[in-house]
Amino acid sequence: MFVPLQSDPVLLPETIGRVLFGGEIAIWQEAVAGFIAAFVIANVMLANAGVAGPWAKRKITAAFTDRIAVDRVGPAGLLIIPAAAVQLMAKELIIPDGADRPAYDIAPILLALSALIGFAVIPMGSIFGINLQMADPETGLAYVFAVASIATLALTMGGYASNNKYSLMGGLRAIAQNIAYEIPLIVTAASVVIFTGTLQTSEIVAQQAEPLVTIAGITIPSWFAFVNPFAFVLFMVANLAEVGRNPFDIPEAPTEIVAGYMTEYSSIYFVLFYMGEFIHIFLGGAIVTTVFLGGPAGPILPGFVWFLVKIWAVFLFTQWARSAVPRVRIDQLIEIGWKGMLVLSFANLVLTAVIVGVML
Amino acid sequence: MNPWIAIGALALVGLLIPLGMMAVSSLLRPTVPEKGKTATYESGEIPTGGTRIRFNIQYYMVALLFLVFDIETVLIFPWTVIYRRAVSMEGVGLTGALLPMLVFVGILVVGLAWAWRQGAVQWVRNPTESQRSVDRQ
Repeated sequence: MFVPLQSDPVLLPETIGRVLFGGEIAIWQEAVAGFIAAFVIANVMLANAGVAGPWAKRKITAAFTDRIAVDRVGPAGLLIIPAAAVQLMAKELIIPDGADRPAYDIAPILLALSALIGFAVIPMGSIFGINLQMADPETGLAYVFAVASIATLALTMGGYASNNKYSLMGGLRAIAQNIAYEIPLIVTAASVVIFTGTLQTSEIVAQQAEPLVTIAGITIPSWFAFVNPFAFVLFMVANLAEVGRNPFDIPEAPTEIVAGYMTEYSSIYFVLFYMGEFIHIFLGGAIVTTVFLGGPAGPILPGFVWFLVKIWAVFLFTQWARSAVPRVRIDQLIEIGWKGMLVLSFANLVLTAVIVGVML
Repeated sequence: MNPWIAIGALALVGLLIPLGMMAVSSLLRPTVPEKGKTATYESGEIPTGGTRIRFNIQYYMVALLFLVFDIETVLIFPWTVIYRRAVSMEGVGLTGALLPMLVFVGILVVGLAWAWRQGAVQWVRNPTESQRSVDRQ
């Protein structure tokens, strides 16, 4: 039943390296090619998460509440976010009394960094015959979860270092929430790894390309969302909590604790926090796409387009939840996490292991 | 090609973008130091007391619980990777591959049940609030 490892497709840094330096590539040339590739990927993701994401968020929320929202700057108001970013960059940076200085400055950088480096191992499909994946280590899935969870550290650091009581509350709530939902998230992903037998992201995507069933001439691929829908639902819920969106947005609950850990951040630091959160939502969407939705696979259109469609679908889901679902309280949050999600995710893992083992 | 070179390059870019934005901002923004401006925000009131205060012990309890389960996920991942290969292998089979992990997860679930009964995952109510509910009865 095992699919042999495919011949590795050429990754983006290697493609750039071949164009720039020819066949034999020295180590410094690898680094240069990697840097260019990283620059391209980071900017695509920034344009996606930093510009289109917040704009779409405002438009969607407006549609839910029967408003029009931004429509003045650029076509359909699309340039409002760059305009707001420039405006915020030109604002005075006010650092509160008694702020814990290095930590206060490092937190926004760390948040943006942790969200961006997760994209390194995500298979983004190809466009014009160029594979856009940066790197494909054998530990890909473990790596992406590891770097995504660094964001918790940044939130806690920002909350604690601000010397503000709202920030402290927000930071504590952020850590309580993220640690409660990280275990279900990872254990659910582990139940998918039982099927794949590998942590390599390209291999996880390749295995989802196989047909599952054919109904009326339409072949349904074996995306793990179809193979194990229970795990998919659990993962989506845990992912909502992990990126801190409704119903799990108590770390920054604007009607309770002002803006949580962001309360004392102004100017460029606020831009970095805000941007980092949006990149994080898209990273969550990219993980869901890779693990459950077949990665960049899809008919006719190039893989990268399908990849964007899928991460935007997950993004739209989080925005729908944000508008439609009320916030939970901290005690409900802890109980849902530790008593509900954790038990269900372990049940899912054990059941999957038993079913896979018996059917093999 | 070593994947970690590309990942390192992305980490470098991920550092350079925020730092570059900060540098641009430091060129653009004004600095007008005033005394009241840097006071921490407390809904417009003058801040009272420090921020390094005692907070709810519950945050510590769930963090302790997290530590146990996080290490457990680290141990589960290698098992999931080799599971299917182990089941189809001679001399290991289904029981050999599944049973030890069931026992392992079982011990942890017993631990969770114990923590549950001890109230570690039950958020402590505000004492004044519970007092009020007692009064009402």
